[in-house]
Amino acid sequence: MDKKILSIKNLEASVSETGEEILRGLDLEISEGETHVIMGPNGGGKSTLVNVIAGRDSYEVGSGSIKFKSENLLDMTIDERARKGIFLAFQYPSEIPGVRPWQFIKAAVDAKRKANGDSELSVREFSKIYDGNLKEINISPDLMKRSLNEGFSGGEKKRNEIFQMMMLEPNLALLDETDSGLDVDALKAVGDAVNNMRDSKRSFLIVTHYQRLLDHIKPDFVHVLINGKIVESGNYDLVKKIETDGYESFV
Amino acid sequence: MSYIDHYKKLIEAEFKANKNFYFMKAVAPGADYFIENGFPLKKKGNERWKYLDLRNVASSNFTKSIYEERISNDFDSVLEKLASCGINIVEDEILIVGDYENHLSGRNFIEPEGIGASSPSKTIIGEIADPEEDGFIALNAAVADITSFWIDKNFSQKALNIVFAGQSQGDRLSTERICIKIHANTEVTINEIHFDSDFNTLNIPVLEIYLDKDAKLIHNKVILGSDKDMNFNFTRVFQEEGSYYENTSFCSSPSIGSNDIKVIMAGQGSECDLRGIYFTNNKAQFNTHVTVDHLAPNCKSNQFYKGVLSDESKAVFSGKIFVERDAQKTYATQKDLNLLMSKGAEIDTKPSLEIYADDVECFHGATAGHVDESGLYYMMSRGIEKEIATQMLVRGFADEIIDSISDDKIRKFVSNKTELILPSLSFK
Repeated sequence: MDKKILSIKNLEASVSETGEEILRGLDLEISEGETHVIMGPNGGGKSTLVNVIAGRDSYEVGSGSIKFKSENLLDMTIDERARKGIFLAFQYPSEIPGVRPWQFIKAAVDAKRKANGDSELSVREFSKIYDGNLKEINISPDLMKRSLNEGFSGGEKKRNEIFQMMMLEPNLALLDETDSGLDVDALKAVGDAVNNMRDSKRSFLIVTHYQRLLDHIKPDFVHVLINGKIVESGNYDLVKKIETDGYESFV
Repeated sequence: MSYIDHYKKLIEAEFKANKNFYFMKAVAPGADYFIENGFPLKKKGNERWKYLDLRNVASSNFTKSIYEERISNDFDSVLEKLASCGINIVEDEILIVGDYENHLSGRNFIEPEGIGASSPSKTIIGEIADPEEDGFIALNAAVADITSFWIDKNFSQKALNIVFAGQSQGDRLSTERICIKIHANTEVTINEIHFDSDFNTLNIPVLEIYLDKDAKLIHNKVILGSDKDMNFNFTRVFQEEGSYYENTSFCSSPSIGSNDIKVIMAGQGSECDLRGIYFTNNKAQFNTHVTVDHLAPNCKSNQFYKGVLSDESKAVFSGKIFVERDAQKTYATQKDLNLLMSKGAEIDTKPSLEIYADDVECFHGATAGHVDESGLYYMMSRGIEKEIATQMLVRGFADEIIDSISDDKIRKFVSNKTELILPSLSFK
């Protein structure tokens, strides 16, 4: 039997500051080991959805529920969700002056291990994993001597997001337009990294505008999100339909 | 009795006891100015002080501790505190002022090669720190404990640690005046360290520094305050041709106080780099006042300050760049960035430029804001708790200043101090 990892029911969410409604009764279920893709026109609510799952408090959840495994996600703080195994690769990762990537990721990995009752990794053990992952995603160690994301190119920031995902080994990874702004090599590197991490337990929810990332990562399910609702779900064939017909045919 | 009458009596007592060769140069004019004007309490036209509430200063009636009674147990406690900075009397050159016999030939300071007491005719007292510039400087001059010395090439590449002691003997006024003449082609580091006090104190230290041609001074200033300290700290610097002056200040705020720096760039081709971080909490009030006077052409100056303000504290940054008509090709920058950790914290930041030359480049900017929400969200989305994430952000903010301290011991010391300060800040 497939085990549900994420279960969203009738989710309504709005922007806290303006009250603007974005999600209007969204349903989505993801099981362990599945890779889902969400496509849709700008302003449809794709980014809002992944940020609401991650817990960003600039959105207000009006009604509905989100269950992560069997727990109520909406009761948890942002950091609790992350320690439970949710990871968001940001569309626009923040630049953090004065904070070194190594120190940052060590703090994140330590926090997660502590929450799971695991012992803290020694600097040596941690460094080995850190260096290995950097090499795999092809980030120069010199770049990581800067402040986090400061002076990183758009592509380097995205690689750094995937690098952090590799370090944190989430159960559910949310990728928010990770492919935008990437050249072909970076796109392939991201695709390879995601494919290497796919297994029977880990799930992905990928937000994208383009088919090109999906040439590297073959999703199990594709959803079309328009005007705050999922209007169509299907398999990979749906991507081709979108490419030829556009979103208008779903409205 | 008004505070001016109180301090007038103190001044007169000092005069009787100790009329010396500094008298005409700085002491007498300081006394006259203070007795007439007192502390700078006026709000009107008083840009430097008008944002601070100086009433506690004006109601003070401190006396100086009796010189001969400043005893060596204070000396030991200072050495102990210094050890926490990694500075020790075996490896490092230490000058303790405020203790009995603080002068250079005293037992507390073995005069190293390249440092010597200035002869009375050659002291620079009052030449750089104008006793009539400010009521605090005037009072310092009037009742100053003076240490005056020179440093030459034979001390190059070394660090002198100046530590202010004499604070462990009860409530008191402290008015140390340190006059330092750095000879030509000499490169030194001076670490100026003020520990916090357990007693009510009014500290008004004044440093006067003269940099001769092509001299280079790295000046690290550490001001640690407690809620009992009032600490008004002045640095006055005069730069000759081709000299370099660097000042990095780390201030953990006293109940009220200031870090007041003025650099006079009189020789062409000189450069100064002034940086600092100030932490304020509780109801502290702290003023950072920085002035650079460009009097000669082809000089470069930089002012870069950061503040972390929490609780109901208040900080003022007033930075001034003055460019004289002859100071062509001046390049001057100024920046003041502030992090407000609570709704009750307040910053008044006021850059001011006064430029009379036409071929200059000057830049200034100031910001005040709360902890970056999107940065916080980003860090928390990796599983880092809000409080830890906030501390990391503040730490990162402060490190831009702290990391630039070139003296390893001082950098480590203030870095550790910052670790201790962070959890005590309120993040509301």
